[in-house]
Amino acid sequence: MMTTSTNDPDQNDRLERFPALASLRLDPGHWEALAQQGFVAGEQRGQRTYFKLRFRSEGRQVVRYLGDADRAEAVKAELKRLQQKTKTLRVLKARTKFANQKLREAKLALEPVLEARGFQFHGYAIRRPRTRRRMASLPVDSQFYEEEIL
Amino acid sequence: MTTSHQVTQAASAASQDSARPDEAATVPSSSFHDARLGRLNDYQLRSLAQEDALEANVAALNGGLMRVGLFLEESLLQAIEGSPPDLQRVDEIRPAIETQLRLTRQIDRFAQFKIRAQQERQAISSGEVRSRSPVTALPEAEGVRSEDSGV
Repeated sequence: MMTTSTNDPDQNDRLERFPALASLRLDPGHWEALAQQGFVAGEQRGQRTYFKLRFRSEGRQVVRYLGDADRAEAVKAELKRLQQKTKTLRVLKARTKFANQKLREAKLALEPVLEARGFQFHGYAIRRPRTRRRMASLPVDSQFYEEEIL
Repeated sequence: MTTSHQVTQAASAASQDSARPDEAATVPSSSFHDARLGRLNDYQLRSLAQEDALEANVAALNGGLMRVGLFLEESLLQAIEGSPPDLQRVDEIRPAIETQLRLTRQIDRFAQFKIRAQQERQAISSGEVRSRSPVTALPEAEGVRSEDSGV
């Protein structure tokens, strides 16, 4: 399919960076949808495999016929580049969630051990509550604080 | 005693889970990444070989957090390098930056706690009593006398 340069800078940029995808009659909404999801699927017909690009846009499934394996590979490679940012952010989000979970678990695991040693968590900070005797030995100004940071 | 067991379990879980934080992760298999993972393994193995169970487990647990931090840091760098910096991108990665900072702070806290516990144990074993050391909050029943307990 022929692709021609236009006055739209976004479209020209796409034509340059994603020529295989740009040849598939995609409107701006399709590009946004494809950046999030979409895949190339092969369908067996007799001895041959035909490839199609499938994605959803505005709640509807969109299918573009690709044909042979060579063109499918080119579209697949461009799709991977187009979806890279989304994929990176998805991984980052998953790892952030995982890290927060591990922080909570570490705190829960150490809590009883710290308590046995006279410490306690205050949020994620480790503190030692001041005893009455220790409070009495401190200057009056310092007695205002109930705990001290480790 | 369940406490040290709990810590051991958590340390083990943190160290194992963090090696594969999620299925979709694309970890760059650079020599730098491998070198850091190798050093983290060394650290955790050395930690577990320590004589004191508390110190060993705190350090092993910290090693697990360091691994989590390594994977998060790599993803964060990929996200930062992946596209030009704009306000939308900053908003998208801010939670990860905050979590990375929290992780780093927690690793530091645990490391400080471990060092102080170690110093205290060494002071006790050599018969020397350190004044105002945080770990002198050990129960008096254990025979530890400190300035804090009025001595």
